[in-house]
Amino acid sequence: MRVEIVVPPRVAVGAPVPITLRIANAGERPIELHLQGRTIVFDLTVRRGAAVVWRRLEGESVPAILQIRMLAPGEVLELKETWDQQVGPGDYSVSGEIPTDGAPLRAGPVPLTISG
Amino acid sequence: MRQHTMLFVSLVAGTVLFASACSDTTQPMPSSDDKVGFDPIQQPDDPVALVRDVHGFGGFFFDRDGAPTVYLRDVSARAQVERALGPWLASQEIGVAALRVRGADYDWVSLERWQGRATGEALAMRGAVWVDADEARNRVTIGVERGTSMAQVRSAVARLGVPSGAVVVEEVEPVRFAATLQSRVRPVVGSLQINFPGFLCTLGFNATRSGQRSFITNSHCTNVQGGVESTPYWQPSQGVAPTQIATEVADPAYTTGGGCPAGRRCRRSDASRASYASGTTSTLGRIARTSGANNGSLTITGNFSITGEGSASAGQTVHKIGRTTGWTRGSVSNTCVNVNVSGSNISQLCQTLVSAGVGAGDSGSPVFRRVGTGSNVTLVGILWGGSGSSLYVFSPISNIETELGALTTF
Repeated sequence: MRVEIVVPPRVAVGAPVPITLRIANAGERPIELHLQGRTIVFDLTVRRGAAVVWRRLEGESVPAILQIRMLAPGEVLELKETWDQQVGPGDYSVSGEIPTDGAPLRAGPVPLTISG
Repeated sequence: MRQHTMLFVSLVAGTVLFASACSDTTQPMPSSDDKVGFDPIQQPDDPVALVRDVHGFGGFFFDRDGAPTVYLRDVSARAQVERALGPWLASQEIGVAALRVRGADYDWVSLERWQGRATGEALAMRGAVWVDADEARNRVTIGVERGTSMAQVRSAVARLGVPSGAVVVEEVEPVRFAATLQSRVRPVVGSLQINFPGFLCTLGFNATRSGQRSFITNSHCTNVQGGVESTPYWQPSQGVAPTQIATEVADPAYTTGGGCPAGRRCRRSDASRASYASGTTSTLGRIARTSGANNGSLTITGNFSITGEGSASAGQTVHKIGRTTGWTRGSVSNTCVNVNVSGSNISQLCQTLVSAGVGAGDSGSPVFRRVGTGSNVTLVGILWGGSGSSLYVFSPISNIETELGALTTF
């Protein structure tokens, strides 16, 4: 199984940032995933240096239900979000986390440059 | 007790399990189709095997002082025992001089024969736990659960020709499988994993309403949150135990207006009720208990007993037990909070927030206060969600009963 985060390397100040978390079954057997939520819950964090500038689930109350999701060989599950950023130009990093009933699935960090 | 006698314990566990299911005991018991059997193969380094051919040998064990001790009918046979056991004792860094000898009433061959004879008869009796050729007592010991007629066991064994003096019948704790909150457990109690199509949740607590044996879990742990669609439930999952245990019968619709924010749908509890199938045993007022709070264990070690319903105030310590993070303990941070549910247009009104661990799959977990340090608890609600992994939200029991109607919970 492969978990990755896809972010455009550079966006303009004030432009929305599309972010995609991908879970891919790169194996030859189906994988049973246990994921949180009726709609799959995932968190995204944007940092500048060590400081968190945005977190998708900050302060959110999320149902603690567990979804059983089969992922066929070769299948890719995509979780998408748009960050409506209003931050200054600079270098940032983006990471993602998908809660399960064990260790969360993690991706990133990947770099993101916001240019003026 | 040696290898093969332990295997009898496996057999007994199955027997106890069957008896418990029939009697609807309050102790949660996992079911299992595990094969049981008897394997007389001895370990090559088994000291009893090394010495069993010495005439009059009646058992080998380490006594309370840790000294190697042998039962002999003829204590003058010590030299033979020393020769037989010497290399093994040396391998344990024990000199033969440390060997203690006790007079035996029975030889080991007879004890093993009587154990085998008694096993078939005694283990077939309700309440039997084990039958052992007891090397530390030079007797056949038969362990039975409290309440079992010891006289009945003794007379059954006597009928088989086993000398009454050679048998000790004693009361012992039943042997149980190490079930977890995610195991198949009957009778069904609170905190166990439940499954409905495509999802896993936690069973909150058992309840009776209008004579209907039921359990309470979250409204969002039904096919559609709000509204009754006869959601089927399995425990722990349809794959493990394909017989449906219950069907959703109550789940009020979410409504707009009143105190509900514009554009939102509201309720005061995330709760639904499911009615048990007639063939599924359940125990009212019991919550599966794990080994301790905030230790991550999912292994069931007993039960909590609900002895009342109540509320939880800010600052009070409350507990929850759920199928993912087990037993967590923390303090109430906020009460009567109106909470928007992430990713939906649902708002839950007048909910309680707790600073304690939570994870995906804990939805439905019973939340309670402990009464003292024992097993009695006061039910205060059911968990439905979390913010991060260290703050959870629960619906108070008073809100649940306002929406689902009065419930008998213990």
